[in-house]
Amino acid sequence: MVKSNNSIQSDLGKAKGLGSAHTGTHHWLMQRVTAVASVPLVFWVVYSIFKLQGADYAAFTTWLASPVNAVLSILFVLNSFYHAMLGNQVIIEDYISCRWFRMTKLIGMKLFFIALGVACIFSILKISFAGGM
Amino acid sequence: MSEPSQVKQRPLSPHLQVYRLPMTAKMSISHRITGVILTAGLVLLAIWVIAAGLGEDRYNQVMELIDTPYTKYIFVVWAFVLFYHMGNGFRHVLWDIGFGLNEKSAQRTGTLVLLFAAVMTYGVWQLSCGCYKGWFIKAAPMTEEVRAQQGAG
Repeated sequence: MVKSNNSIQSDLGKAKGLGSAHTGTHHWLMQRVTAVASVPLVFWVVYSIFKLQGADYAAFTTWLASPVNAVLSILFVLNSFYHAMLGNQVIIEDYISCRWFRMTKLIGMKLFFIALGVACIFSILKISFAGGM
Repeated sequence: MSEPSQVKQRPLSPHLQVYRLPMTAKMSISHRITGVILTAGLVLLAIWVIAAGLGEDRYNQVMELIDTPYTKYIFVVWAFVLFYHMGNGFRHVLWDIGFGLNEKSAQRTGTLVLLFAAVMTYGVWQLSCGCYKGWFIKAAPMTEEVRAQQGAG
C-alpha cells in the first residue's frame, strides 16, 4: 500500500473521510467578504424600505424598474443570501449532531436559499424589463 | 479536615446552566441569534419582491397581510437587530485582522457596538415613526393615504 509521505492520517481515517475537507478557509473568507460588501448595501436597503413603506404596486414596480435600484437589489440578494447561507451552515453544523438530520438540513437550507434567490432575481429582472407597470 | 464538606460540594465545571455569562459571551451568542432573525427578515423581503413579480393582485394580497399598524414597529426592531449584527460583525472582522484581542478591548468594542445599534435604531425610529419632520415628510403621509384608500376600497 502506498502511503503519502506528508500525511500522518491513518488509512482508516482516510477511508472514512475524516479530517479537514480543505474548504474551510474559503467559507471563512467568503463570509467576511460578503459581510464587508453588505455594509453599503444594507444602508441602502434600510433607506429604501423606509421610503417604500406603504407603497402600492405602481410605486413599488416603478422604483424597482430603475436601473440603479434593480442592480443594487440583485447585488443585495446575491450578497446577503450567500452570507445568510454561510452563517446558517455554521449554526447547523455546530448544533445538530445527528448526522443524517444535519446533512438533510444543510442541503435543504442551501436549496431553499438558492430557490428563493433565483425567484427574487427573476422577479427583479421581470419588473425591470417590463418597464415598471 | 474539610474533606467531608468538599466531598459533598464537588466543584462543578462551568456549563451553560450554572455559569453567569459575561457581556462578551452574551454578545457572542446574540450575533448568531440576530443572524437567524435576519434570515427570517430576508425571507420577508424576498416575499415582497416575488409578490411584485407575480403581478398587481398578488402584490396587493401580500401587502394586505404585511401592512399592519405594527409593521413599522417590527421594522424598527428589525433595524436594531440588523445594526447590532452589522456592528458586531465589524468587531469580528477587526478581531480577524488582529485588533482588540484582549478582555478590556472586547468589553469596550462591545459597548461601542451596542451604542452604535442603539443610535442607528433611534434614527430609524425617528424617521419611520413620524417623529422626525424633515426630508422624508413626503414619504410619511403617503403611508396614511394608501392605508385610507385601502380601507375605503
